[in-house]
Amino acid sequence: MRNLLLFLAKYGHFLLFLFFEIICFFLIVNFNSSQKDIWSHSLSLYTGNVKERISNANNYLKLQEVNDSLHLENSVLLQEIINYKVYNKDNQYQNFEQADSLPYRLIPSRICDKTLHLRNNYFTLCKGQNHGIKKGMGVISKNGIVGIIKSVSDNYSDVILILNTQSRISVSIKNKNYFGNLVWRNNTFNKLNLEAIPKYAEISIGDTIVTSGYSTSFPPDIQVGKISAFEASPGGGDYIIDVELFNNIETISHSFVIDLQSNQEIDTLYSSDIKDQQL
Amino acid sequence: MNIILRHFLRLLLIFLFQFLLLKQIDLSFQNFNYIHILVYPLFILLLPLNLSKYLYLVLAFIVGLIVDIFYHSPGVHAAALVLMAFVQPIILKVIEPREGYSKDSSPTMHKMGLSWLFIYTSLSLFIHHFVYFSIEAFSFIYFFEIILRTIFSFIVSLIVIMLSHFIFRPKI
Repeated sequence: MRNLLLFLAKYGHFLLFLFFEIICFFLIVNFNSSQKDIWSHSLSLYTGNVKERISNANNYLKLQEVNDSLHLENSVLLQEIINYKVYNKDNQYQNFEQADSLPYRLIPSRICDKTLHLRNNYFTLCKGQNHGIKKGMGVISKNGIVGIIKSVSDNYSDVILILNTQSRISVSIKNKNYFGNLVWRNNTFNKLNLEAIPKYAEISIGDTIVTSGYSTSFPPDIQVGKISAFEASPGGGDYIIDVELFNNIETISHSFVIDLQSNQEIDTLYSSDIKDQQL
Repeated sequence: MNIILRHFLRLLLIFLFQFLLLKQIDLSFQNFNYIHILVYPLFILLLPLNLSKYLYLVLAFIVGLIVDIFYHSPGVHAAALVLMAFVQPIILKVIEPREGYSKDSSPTMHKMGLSWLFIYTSLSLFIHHFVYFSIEAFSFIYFFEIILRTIFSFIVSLIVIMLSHFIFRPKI
């Protein structure tokens, strides 16, 4: 109490001054039109600035959520495009408009983990059996193919990357109808080899490589990469072709798993074929 | 005459002069609109020097509000006058004569001399005018205009106040 009195005795004059000035300030700001305008204008400038900062911070915190929702949106659009292409190729656009269920369904997924610089590279996706992922489905990103599902658990799944010595994907050269296999032999990042293109084929550097659609993993006409170099193999009947990927696999963080709805029939056909061969 | 009554009558006279005469005078021609004569700080400037600092502030606030009522600008004159009353003790300390203030000192030509009175009045008045015109503009975007108004109005107001000292020759 004594301290309070001492404080008042020392600063009371200043406090009274502040008190009067604050009253004056309220009067000025509330009852003088021009001062009121200036005050509210500058107030809104500063609060606007603060509000913007707050919303920026909030947006940053929501980034993951926004990313995921955009990814989901992309998957819907990509699904439309893929299915449209399939129908369009067979001149069945009308059917595409009227179809109840489309053959290809995309399952968007984040990539949980990846290895990139080994001989056999894998991705781990953050979705699994519970989300409808099955073994053998193809995985693509927005710029091209990524790999094939190798094994699935309840909530995670492993992907064999195309940058894996075991990977083998059926592709074709766009608009030219030559088919070959895309493999990874030379172990250089983002460079693959295209095999089994016969020497009589007319190819040139820069030709686009797309998926053939002859497997149940990938729909036709998904871009893969372009031819960066080729030479005739000595003594063989094929070209040795280097393919540069469109996809920068190092930087992708989201991918789509392709689910072909009607693939059960084809799968049983394939497996019965294999059985026949084995017999 | 009772000292309180004397100051009250003085205040009335200053108000009459300010509101009936000075407020009606329009000293603008064409673009030159920088002279607004404000003499009411004279009341605060004439208060006895040994007056409580708190009373300075309270009186300045009340006088300022009355002026604001007549000028339709709530708070503007009061803010400037309260600030002037706040710095009054500091100014008094700065310009204190070597022998100090005597107990019954009042800031008049009779007691303190012309040069002291001139410095005292002009310092306080300049602060008042500058604060007043700043608050009136309420934004330092108009800094140049504020300075011009302050200087021209200050000069004219100072002349009027000094003249009133010569004419009325207040002793207390």
